[in-house]
Amino acid sequence: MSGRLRIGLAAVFVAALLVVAVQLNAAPDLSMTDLDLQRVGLSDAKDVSADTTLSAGDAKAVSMARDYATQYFGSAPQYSRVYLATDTLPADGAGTPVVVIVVPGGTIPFDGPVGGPTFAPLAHKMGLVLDAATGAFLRGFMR
Amino acid sequence: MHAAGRGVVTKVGLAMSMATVFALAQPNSTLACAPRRSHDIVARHAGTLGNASSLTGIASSILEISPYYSGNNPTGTVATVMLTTNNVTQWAQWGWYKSKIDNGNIQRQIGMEFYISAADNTFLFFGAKPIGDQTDYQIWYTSGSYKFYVNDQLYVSEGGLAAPTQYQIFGETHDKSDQFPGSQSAHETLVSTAYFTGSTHIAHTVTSATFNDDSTVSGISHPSAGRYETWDQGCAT
Repeated sequence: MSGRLRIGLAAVFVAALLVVAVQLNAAPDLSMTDLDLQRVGLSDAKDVSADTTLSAGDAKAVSMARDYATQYFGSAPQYSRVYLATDTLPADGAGTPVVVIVVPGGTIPFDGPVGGPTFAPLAHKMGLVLDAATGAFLRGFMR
Repeated sequence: MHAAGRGVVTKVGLAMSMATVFALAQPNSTLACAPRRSHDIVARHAGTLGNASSLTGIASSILEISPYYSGNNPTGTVATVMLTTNNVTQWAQWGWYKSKIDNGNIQRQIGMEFYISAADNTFLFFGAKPIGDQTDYQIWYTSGSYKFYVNDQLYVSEGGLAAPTQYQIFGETHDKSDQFPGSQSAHETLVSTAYFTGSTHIAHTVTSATFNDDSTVSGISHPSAGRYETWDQGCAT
C-alpha cells in the first residue's frame, strides 16, 4: 500500500468518525407537529427557543417554562424547545395564553394490554403545557 | 350524560391547578405499604377482560390510592380501563398511575395512552384526583373517535383507531418490590364496571372472570357483578 493511499484511507476513516460523532451529538427533533398541537387543544404555536426579540411578557413566559422543566426533572434538560401558542386555551370564558416546553424522552408508565405486543415504553419527546402568565401546569404529552 | 366538545376539554385542563398537579410525590398515606420484596423489573397485571361485538365503551369507578412505589423502575403502578382493537395490537388506556415520568419525581396523575403504533403513540397526563376518591374513568368510542372522561367530564378525544373489540380493566406494577394496588385488609376497588355496545351505548355490567399474572404478588376478587378488587399479597394492612 502506497503512502498516499494510506493517507487517503486514514482521512476517510477520520471523516467517518467525525460524521458519527456529529450524529451522536445531534439535537433530537423536538418540533411540535400539528398532531401534537391538536392533542393538547391548540391549533398553532411559534418556536421562540432562540428568539431574542420577545416582549417582556413573552420572555417571562419562556423563562417560567424553562424553570418549570428544571424543577420538574430536577435539573435543566440538555435539550429543549419552547413554543408560544398563537391561540389560547379557554378557561371559564377567558382565553389563557399558553407556553409549551418540549424535551427529549419520557417513560410511559403503561406497557400495553394483556395479550398484546411487548414494546419499550419510551417516548421520543415530552411536552409540558403551562399557563403563560402564571407558569401553572395545565397538561402534558409524550409521543 | 356527557358534555362534549373541545371547549370543555380545555376547561377541564385549565381547571388543574398547581396544587392539584403537585399532588406529586404523595406520601404513602392511603393503602400504602412496602411489601419488602426484591426488585425484578417485571410487569404484573390482575384484572378482567372480555370481548364484545359492537363494543363502544368501558367504564369503572376506581379508588384513588397512593401505593408504595420504590421508584426503582420509571413505569410505576397503575389502575386503568382499556379498549383494544386489531387483535389486541392497538389500544386506548385511561386511569390513575403513580410513576416517575422521565426518571423525574414520583407523581400521581391521570394518564391516557393512545397506541396506534410504536411510531404513533400518544400519552397525555393531567392532575390527579384526590386520594380516597372513587373516580369514574370512562372511554367511549363514538363516531370514529375515542373519548376519555373523568367523572363524566370529557378530557380528550382521539381518532385513528378502528372500533374496539375488547375491554380490559386491571391493576399493574412493573417491579416486584412495588406494592400492587391495595392491601389484604384494604383493597383497591374497581366498581360499577360496565362495558357499552352499539351507537346508543347500551350498558352491560362486567361479570367476566378475573386474571392474575402472579398470585404470589397480587390478589384479585370479583365479589359481585361489576365489582373487582385487588391487593398486594405482601401487605396485610
